[in-house]
Amino acid sequence: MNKVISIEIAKQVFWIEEQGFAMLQTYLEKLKLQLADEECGDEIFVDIELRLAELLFELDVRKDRAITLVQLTAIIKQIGFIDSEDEEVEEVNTTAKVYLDKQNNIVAGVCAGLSMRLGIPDFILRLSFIGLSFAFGLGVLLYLIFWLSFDKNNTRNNALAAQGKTATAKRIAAGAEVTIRPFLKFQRIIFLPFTLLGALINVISNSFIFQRGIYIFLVKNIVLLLSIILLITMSVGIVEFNEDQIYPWWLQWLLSAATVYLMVLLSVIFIREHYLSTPYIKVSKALKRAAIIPVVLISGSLVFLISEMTDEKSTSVTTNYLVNDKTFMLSFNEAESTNSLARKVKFHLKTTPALSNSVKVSVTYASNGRGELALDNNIQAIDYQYSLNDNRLVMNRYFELLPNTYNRGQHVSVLIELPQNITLISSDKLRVNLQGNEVEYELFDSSNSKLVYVTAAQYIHEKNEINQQRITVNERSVLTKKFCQQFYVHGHRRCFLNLPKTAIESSKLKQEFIDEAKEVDEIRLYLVQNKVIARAELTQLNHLITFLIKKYPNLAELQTYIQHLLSVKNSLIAEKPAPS
Amino acid sequence: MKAKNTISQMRRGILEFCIISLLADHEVYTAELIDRLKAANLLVTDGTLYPLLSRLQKSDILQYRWEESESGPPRKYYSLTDEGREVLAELDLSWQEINGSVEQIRRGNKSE
Repeated sequence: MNKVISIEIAKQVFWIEEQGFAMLQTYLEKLKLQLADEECGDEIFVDIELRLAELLFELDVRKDRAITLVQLTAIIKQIGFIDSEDEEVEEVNTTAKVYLDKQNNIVAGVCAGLSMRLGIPDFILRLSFIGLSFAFGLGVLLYLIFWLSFDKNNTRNNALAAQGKTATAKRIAAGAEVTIRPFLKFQRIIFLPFTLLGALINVISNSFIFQRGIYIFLVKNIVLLLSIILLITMSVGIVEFNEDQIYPWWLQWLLSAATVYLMVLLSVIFIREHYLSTPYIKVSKALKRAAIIPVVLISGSLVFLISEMTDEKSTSVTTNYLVNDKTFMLSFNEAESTNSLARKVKFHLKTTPALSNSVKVSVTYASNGRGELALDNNIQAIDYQYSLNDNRLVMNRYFELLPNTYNRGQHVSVLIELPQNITLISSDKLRVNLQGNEVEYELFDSSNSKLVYVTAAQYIHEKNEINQQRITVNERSVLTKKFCQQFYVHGHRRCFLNLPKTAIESSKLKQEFIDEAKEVDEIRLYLVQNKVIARAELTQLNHLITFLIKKYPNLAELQTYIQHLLSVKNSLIAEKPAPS
Repeated sequence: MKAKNTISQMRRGILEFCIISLLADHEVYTAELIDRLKAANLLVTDGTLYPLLSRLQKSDILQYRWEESESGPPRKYYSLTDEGREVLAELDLSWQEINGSVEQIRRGNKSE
């Protein structure tokens, strides 16, 4: 029993046995490959097909009988290949090339291709590529370079071209195909992760080739939508943005108009030329050229803005205020209205060693601008309210700009310098700033209850019942910083994060303390995160340091602070009975 | 083998001239052209002819027309163009010259 297939050649229908059909297909395929380089290859192919039809027709088979394999073989032999008579003449050896071998591939066929060219077993090549990958990724890099540079043309002539032989008809007919390597399946299992990667790349690249239209369509639409959304936000945004008084009002409207124009123009161009690809309507060039105007306007205004910000200036207003009763009060007001121009003011607080009653309040106004006059005007435009009377400093958390002035990056900072031994009552939490060498405090957040601090030396200490018995957050920060500075090589932050590790483990311990690692660890254990340090523990810490200080006199600073803390806590307890 | 190579080259050179000669008086369709060339032992496989025909037609020596056949596939009839006729006359002349030269040399060889 034979399966029969009907084929149509040159408008004639023939019946062919299945085997014959396969042979005919291969023959025509090979012929096409041969004709690929020919100038009128397509025409010649049609002519040969016609000849094939003629010869098949001449066989004069009855419609109910199929053309046999033998008959077809004879016909194919008669027609032959186009240059079968003179292949000896045209024999030219070409330069051997390297191809990507897609049939023996694991990832992209680089190793298999190299193997075909060099005659080295592909398994060894693969292993060496993997080996080289461990040398700073050299293997991966080489693989990528080869992948990009090897010839991608995947025809059956590759095997011949890799040997530098011309693909002649006889050779092609002889089935010079890229042979499947022995143990390929085995290798695919050994290099399973790479096989999977290769399969993935193959699927993605194939889907990209077949569905390129869809991808292009998607990208087009996304670009269109994004540019329109961007421009809508810009055109609306400029008005909104200029609440900040960056530009004069007329420039603001001009810029808005320019962006709206640009948005409409871009949408029209995009929809006409890309989105509606058929029928293709070209937007007139004059209209396109007109887009230069808004582009110049927008970029010009940006340049204007940048040039308007080149210089800087700041002026300070300092007030010395005499405090009665050794009590000073700080309170911070939120902005009265939700004004978009409101900007946060920076507050700093530090203590002065002098024992006086004078509190120094410096308010610094700073601005960018161009030229002395503009700078002065910009600083004048700052509207910041604060009052200082009845031992009380009341400050707004925010400053604003006066109407009809321009925003040129103005900012305000307040520095409060308190003499020692003053009791400070603050409406907001203050946090120690450990960045610089000086101990400074800054505004942390607002709290509902009034916070009482006492100033002592260069520090301020929270004063409430619990905190007389234990170390506060600020005190702890200072303590940890000092501990880290004394014992560890790197800065505070790094040391702070490393605290849960033992001194030896952290490897940041200073060399000189290597022998004292045990003692350092003992101190460290008091400071690890989430641990509450009680007042009693301070005494123990003090003993530890006293022990160490005999050998290392430079630990004095840490000891001074611990002793300072102890004296503060003690004095707070001593004070306690007085109010009650 | 060496002779075969030479024969193949000679045949190749002559083939073009023979095709043009076959078309000298009347138009011929492809199958007939193949049959006659084969009968004259000038053609081994049909495939060789097609690129040649295509080249001649491209250089305006040949032209063709299609003719539907009552049974079977359509036929392509080739004929010479005016330019083709001129080429044929030239080729005829040089063939006679070459033929004469070859004969002369061979006769000379024999008589020696």
